[in-house]
Amino acid sequence: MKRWQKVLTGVIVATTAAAGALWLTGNLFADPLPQGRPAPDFTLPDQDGKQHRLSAYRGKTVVLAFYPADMTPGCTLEARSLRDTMPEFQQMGVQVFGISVQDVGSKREFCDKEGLNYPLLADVGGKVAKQYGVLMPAGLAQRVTFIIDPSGQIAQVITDVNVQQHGEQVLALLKQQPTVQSSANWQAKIGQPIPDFRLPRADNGKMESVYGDRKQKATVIMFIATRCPVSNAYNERMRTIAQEYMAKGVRFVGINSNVIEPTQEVAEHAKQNRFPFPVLKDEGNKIADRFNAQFTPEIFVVDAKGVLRYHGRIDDSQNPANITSHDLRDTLDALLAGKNPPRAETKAFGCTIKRVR
Amino acid sequence: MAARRIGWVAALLAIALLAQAATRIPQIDGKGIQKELAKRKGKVVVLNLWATWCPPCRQEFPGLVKLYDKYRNRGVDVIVVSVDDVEDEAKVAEFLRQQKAKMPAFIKKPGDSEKFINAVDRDWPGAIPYTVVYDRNGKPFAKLLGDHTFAQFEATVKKALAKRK
Repeated sequence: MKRWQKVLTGVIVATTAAAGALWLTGNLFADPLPQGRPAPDFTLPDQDGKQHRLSAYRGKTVVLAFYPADMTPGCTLEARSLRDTMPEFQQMGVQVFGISVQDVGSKREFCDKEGLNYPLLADVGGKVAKQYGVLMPAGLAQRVTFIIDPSGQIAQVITDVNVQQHGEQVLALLKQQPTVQSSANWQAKIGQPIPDFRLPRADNGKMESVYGDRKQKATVIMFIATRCPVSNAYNERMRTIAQEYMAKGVRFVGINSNVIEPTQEVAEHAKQNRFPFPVLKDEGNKIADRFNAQFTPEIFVVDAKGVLRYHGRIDDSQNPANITSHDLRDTLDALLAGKNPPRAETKAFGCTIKRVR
Repeated sequence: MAARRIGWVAALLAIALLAQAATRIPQIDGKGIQKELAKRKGKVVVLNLWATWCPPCRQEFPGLVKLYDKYRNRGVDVIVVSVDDVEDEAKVAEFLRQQKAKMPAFIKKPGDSEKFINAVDRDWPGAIPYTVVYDRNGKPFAKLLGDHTFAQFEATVKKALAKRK
């Protein structure tokens, strides 16, 4: 063998070995989706065949624990640890899922055997594991846990899972995150994130996420009314401002929380006023309570990152002829230009929101 | 003939002017409200913010009238402040007349609404009706957002009266 042949053989052997090692031990080199990325949506059955869609859990923190296989020693320890910390997760309003590539029957058996009190999702074929970047070449999922925040973003990725104390490990991380911790019972506050929430549309009853497809540069949430003369004085302004800024990538959502204004009336009012934005019905004023919204029209503006940046009025006069301060427009112009809104909070006269007593 | 006609016109004008003077509602700003409250120290004061365009305000108004009539000689005063535009003063006057409202009534001076809201009460988001019950030391005793019944007003006032000085 000539020298160059030796070198070439060496290179080929080394490359093949390296590639093989990469392929075989893919878990060492696999690339789980990083923190900050949107969590890919999926629908999977649990051990009882019940379908779970991830995006249906928006507004809640979700723990998604990928593991290689049901009933194997490591996975059993991990599952028991999660099982035993479940009361604390529930208290925090956190939804936990186990997920692996075995089928529903296998999940059923695993749950029964270990008395598991949280759903195990059957990702047969590993499609979801692949989307999350945790599918190993052997076709099993790598042991990685994702913490997904209420807005559907990946907040934490745990690759060094401590199987014996995984429940505690996840809890410790959740407690470090103020937004996650408060997600079960959040209150709107300037400078703080607003988790996604869903309410039925007044016009067709379909559930709508306040953030929609999340492609917007800002979200304007407007508490409005059908019978309030102040809110009605702003109908035309709401329509024109929405049209103008929707074209610039801002999302607008109307919310009606008034107990005295039925859904049908809200739908008709929106149609009559040709609102270009969805109007959602907040039965039981649950969302109004979260925002501590008191009057109509009351406006909240959330930036692209989901942080509340403005709370208050549309402008400073019910009578369009007397406006001196265009607060909503000024806020949106500032956010679109990457600046801070000139004022974070303003006040105006309005009608009280009629709440359930 | 002509002189007579002029006389009639003048008389009508005079009546109209008098009528208007009679409906004049004093204008007030945040500072003015604080002054009115200060004048009434030693009494429990019920301050109500309302407007003619606000249906729940109109709905609860008879309860305030009744409260004033029943408690005016028992250490309680009621002040109502309309936040209508001053151009709507006639509407405000007409409503007060209909309600047979005899309590001190004001209309918000033209100017910055936000400044007014904060001067009345920093905690007030601006939604009306809004009622603040002050104790005899002039300190806010209860803040009532939204419309309330006579019974609710009365219960609050009684509690404020029962509070030691």
